[in-house]
Amino acid sequence: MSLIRRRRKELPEVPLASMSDIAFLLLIFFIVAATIDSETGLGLTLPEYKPDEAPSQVEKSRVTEIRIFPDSLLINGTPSDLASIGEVVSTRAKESINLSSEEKYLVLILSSTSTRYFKYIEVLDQVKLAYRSVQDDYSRTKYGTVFKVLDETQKAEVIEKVPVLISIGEIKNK
Amino acid sequence: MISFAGKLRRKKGGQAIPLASMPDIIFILLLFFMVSTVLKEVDVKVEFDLPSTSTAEKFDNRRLTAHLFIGRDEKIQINDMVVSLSEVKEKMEVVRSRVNGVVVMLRVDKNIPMDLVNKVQIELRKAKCLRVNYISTQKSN
Repeated sequence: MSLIRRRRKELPEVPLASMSDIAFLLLIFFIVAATIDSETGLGLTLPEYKPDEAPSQVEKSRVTEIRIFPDSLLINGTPSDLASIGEVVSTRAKESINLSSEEKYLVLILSSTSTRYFKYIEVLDQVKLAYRSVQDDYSRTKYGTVFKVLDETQKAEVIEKVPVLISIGEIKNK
Repeated sequence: MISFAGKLRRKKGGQAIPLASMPDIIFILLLFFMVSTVLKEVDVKVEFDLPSTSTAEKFDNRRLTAHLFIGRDEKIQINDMVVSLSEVKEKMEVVRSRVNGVVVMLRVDKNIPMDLVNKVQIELRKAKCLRVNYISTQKSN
């Protein structure tokens, strides 16, 4: 009797001392597997695709057109360089602060087929930089701080005044 | 003597840190990491060099993203599959049906001609995946 009783008592015991070690191992695995670095990039919303339809026409006066060729750059038809994009775009964006949202100026980036991707990204970067500086200027005069630290409603208001309007396209080889 | 013995006992009691709750704490940490980890990142099968920019913004919502790569040799990869240009639309439609409002993370080699990039973008537009993010490295100033 006494033998049986002792055995019954011993059976249900699971050693719990190593539990924390197991948990530690799992923990270390998940910490190592977790990817912490977040991705950085330039966001853009592409226009909707409409087949058999001419691209939506916008009045020429509203558009700042940047044409990228493999070794040159045209802003509104005049030869230019990367550094002057910022000035042109930011003055245009400032001019359109007080216009209604349908009248705001936009930037059209056209790239020729043989242009390298990084050239296009450089131009896009400059345009974004220009818009960002105008947004910063506007929020500084209105709220006294830069755009980044504003709250959501203030940000929305600045974006409504200075929207980032970028459209893209390609130059067809003739 | 008694007080001496008492002192000794108190010293012993003061030194011990309660370890009974240790597994609980570890389990909570473990749960946190298990929940926050996104385990499967895509297998990258193409080689590319990213361009660098100064206005790159952080994008954190990983569950909303799809990955599209264009490698040095103009190979196109969507998530885990290497596809041809004509398949891009079909694959992206599948992705979009699974993730609403998907953001396409474009990783394109910096020397790829815009011809191909534009063609891919037209396919993306056809598949109604309109939000893209040109992944780039941060330019060090």
